[in-house]
Amino acid sequence: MKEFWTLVSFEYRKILGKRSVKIALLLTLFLSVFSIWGTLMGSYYIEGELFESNAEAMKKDRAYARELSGRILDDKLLMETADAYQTIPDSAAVYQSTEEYQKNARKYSSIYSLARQVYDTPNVRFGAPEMGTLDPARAEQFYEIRELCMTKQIENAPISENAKEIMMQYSAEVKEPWIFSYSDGYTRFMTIMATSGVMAAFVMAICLAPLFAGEYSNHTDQLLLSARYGKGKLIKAKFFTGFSMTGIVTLLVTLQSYVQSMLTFGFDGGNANVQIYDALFPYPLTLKQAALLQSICVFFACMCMSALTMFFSSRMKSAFGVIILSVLLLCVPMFVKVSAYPLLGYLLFHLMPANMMQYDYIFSMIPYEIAGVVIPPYVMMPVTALCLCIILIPFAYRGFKHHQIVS
Amino acid sequence: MELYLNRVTKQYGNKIACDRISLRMKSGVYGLLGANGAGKTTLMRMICGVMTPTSGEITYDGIDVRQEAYRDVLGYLPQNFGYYPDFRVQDFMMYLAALKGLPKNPACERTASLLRLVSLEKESKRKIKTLSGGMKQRLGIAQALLNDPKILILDEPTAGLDPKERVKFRNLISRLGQDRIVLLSTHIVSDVEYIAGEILMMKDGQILHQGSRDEIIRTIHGKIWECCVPETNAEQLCTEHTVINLRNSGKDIILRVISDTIPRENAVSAEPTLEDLYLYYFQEEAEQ
Repeated sequence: MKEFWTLVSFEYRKILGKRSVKIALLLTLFLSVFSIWGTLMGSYYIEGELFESNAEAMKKDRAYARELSGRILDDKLLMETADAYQTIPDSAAVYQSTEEYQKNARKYSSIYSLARQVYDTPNVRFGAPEMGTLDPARAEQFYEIRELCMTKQIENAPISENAKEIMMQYSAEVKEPWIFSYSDGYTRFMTIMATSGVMAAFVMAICLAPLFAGEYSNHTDQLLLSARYGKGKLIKAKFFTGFSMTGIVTLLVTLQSYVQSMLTFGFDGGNANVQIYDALFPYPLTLKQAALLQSICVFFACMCMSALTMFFSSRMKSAFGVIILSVLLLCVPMFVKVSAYPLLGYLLFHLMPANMMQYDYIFSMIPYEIAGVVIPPYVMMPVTALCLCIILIPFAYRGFKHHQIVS
Repeated sequence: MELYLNRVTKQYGNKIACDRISLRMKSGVYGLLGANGAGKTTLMRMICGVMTPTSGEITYDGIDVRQEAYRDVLGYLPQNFGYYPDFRVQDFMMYLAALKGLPKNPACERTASLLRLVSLEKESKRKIKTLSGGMKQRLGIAQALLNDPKILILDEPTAGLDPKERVKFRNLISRLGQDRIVLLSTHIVSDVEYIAGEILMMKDGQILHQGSRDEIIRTIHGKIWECCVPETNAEQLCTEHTVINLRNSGKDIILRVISDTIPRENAVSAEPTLEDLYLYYFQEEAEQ
């Protein structure tokens, strides 16, 4: 066993000794840090004049939202919001620039954005004026209208009756009424995790591409494969190095994104329903649970990406080719939208590593169904990633073990 | 101690790199001679288990080439072997020692003694990328000996070594061959001539001759001639026969010629050498 750990330590030295790896790791850290603070840079201008900086706006909105935290989202709060929005003069071209909005309505802007998600219809946009004129009867029906929206969306989804029924059950399990809470820390974290996860997967593709292919192109493969442990322990040590490094990098990026988001925006809202951020969210989860599930999906997606990279590396002769192929596999799905028809293609497409990190896909209303068992995407994705790792590793193992020295 | 090759064949498409080679090797130094493309490296790679034969088997005392126990007794210096440029000499040796299953402390001691043996002890802290070609070759030799192998395969081991290093290396190989099987391939005929107890002549994927130096040289006995000719006749003789050596002697030129029949009336039969034999069998390659 001692030899195994010695081999692992040498594999780490080989990877971390490369300048390209050091640069890629530092760049990932920098981008991950910047992607959170970047939103606070710059300022908000109204009619060409500086109104406030983004950092000031965040602090102000956070203070307002915290004032409302703990309140039940009911008709009373909705009508309070309506009263505040009613003060905004109709003549204002940009309602945010009015004194009335800043003084009365801004503190309710989080409630307004929730109401908008529920009351918006394809035909009638629920804007600020509509908020101001909200009918008390409609305010009272907030949860019924939301349920109608959910039912309509689930009914229209291209899924089986069984899956529709399960999705309706999930939706029915959402606790009502919702308790409003400020939650920017968690929501920003979830938004940023998709980007940070892709960056972690990208950097791991660069780090792990030469794991086997580098030995081929360096001609060190002859020495390794003719050594006692070259066709056994060494390959296991390489896999351990690949997965452990991916795990460490992904956990560090996740931890950095979480701590930075929380320290910047606040730790509030972890126990609140996800619905106070995304009103049409179908699953009965709190923000803390959703953030954890997304982190798990990102973790396994990165592991899956690393398994793919190691597989390519064992089968290809050049690390450069491995990087190109891995990066294409990672990035192309981010720029492609696939129709829900046919459903199988749509579902499989969402199991690509980059898609496994996206909030919208992880908590999609279209679940997976295998032999009548309905599986939510946030369960299916990590399980698939794990299965892919288990399937790919023996092929990669054989790829290196049976590699033929011909050049 | 026996390395056994039983009808080992390697075929790439229509080309046969090694053709049904059968060998039994016991302890001693074996020199593998052959021109480029003769199949020497392919044969060595198959013996080292880094290339799978198309057919046939390779065993050491009954242990198959694919088994870990076989690799445990194997030392290999490949032709153009690779290294990790940013590794220090000491680290490279320690890494390969770990790969060969040596525990840390014995590996440290063995590394120190081998680096001393190949005169690299002062370079142990240097990065490999800063070493000269000859130093890298010596490092390759040292790594092959890390596990005190019973089978030592050396593919062009003297390439890049200066004459002094080559002599030192030859002496080392002679010593090592006393209690292990050493198979070395080279283009430098004199390396094999001095140290190999048995010589294997390889051509077109087949072993043409196998035996001691004297035994295989006997096959060209009476085919080596020396003659003294005027400069004008020398050129004609060069086109008609394979000339091994040509040296000026006043107005005339002394030629060493390979020929099945007497090339000139005044030619005298000469004692053949291994180099003559090499050129006799590989004249086409030599001319290319």
